[in-house]
Amino acid sequence: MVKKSSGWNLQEMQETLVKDTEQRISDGFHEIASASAEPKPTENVGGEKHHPSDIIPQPSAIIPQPSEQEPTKGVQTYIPMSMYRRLNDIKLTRRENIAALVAQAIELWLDVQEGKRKVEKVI
Amino acid sequence: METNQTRLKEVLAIVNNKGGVGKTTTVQSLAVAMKREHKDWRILVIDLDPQGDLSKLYGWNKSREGQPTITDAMSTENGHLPIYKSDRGIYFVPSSPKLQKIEPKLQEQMQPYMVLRKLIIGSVEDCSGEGITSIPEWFDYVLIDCPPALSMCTYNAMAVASGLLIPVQMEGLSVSGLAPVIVEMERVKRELNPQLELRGILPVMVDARPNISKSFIAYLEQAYGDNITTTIIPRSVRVNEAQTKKQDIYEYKQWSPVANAYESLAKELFG
Repeated sequence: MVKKSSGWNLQEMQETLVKDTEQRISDGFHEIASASAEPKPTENVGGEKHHPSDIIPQPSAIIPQPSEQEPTKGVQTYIPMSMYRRLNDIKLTRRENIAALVAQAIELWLDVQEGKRKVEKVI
Repeated sequence: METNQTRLKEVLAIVNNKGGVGKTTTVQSLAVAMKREHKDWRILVIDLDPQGDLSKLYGWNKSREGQPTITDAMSTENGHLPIYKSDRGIYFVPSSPKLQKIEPKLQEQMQPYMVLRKLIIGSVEDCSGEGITSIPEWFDYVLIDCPPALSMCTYNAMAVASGLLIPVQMEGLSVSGLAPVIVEMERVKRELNPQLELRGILPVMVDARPNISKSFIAYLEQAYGDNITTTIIPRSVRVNEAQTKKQDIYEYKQWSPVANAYESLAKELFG
């Protein structure tokens, strides 16, 4: 005889949902902030590691250039946090890989805008 | 909404990453068995399998194309579960083949594994004409028929369920396939849903004669202890015959051993 169910609790379901939402928001912003400060190697589809500085994309070819009046911080909202959070997940799907590349490009572009990196070669 | 005064007692996900092990039959038969035993219970079944076999058993067919299904609800952040009522008094949320391609749409959402939970907690689209506004306030039990894979839909089911029932055939591959499901259940419990618990491992399609079935049951009892249900579902051609006629086992042969077995299972799980 199997044991009795502890039951389904709406309040707990709501609370853990809210907690997860907050965690995702917190993780998303934290990861974007830390990724901008210190670029880390990432894996591509084949599992081969690249350092962000290995690839210097042309920013204007990937995302629209903001006008001079627009704050660059607004770029953060261009990436769904659910995708950004999984950048280091080995089970990346093709869609997520695209998201990862876009995120990486934005990260580099922000570094260039802030003067942390210089564009040496455009591929 | 009063959060501590809900009618809903349990959300049970019927999971196995192997196909053809009797998940859909278990959901269909268990729901009717529960309703027969407790006429006042309101039971909702959710078809999360893109094959839509459960929906077909409730009369869902091509003529109803265009009516909302679970795919529509899960495709957006602000969807609503469409709830219909079958002529057997069971409420259901139908599936559609498009559910096969839902994963990219789930990935675009902020919490891809919590989509079904949000839908069950949130407001519904009442297609039954009975004025249903909230699943926790209207229903006593929810049963979820999961796809035969550890896909995002299955994780969504595990993220909202309070219990997991795993039907397993008495065959080597089926029995060995149990471990990954239980590992994933533990992970979901740890990371997404602390309420989730294993309600039972259900031996299905058991042939009473071969000794090998007995050996597998003995092995399961040794490995998983009290998690094995006392009820054993026997193999029966009556199930296939009933489903061919789009009937449940109680409509077709209510006194058959398999019908009795599902009645026992309903009592064992829900009293």
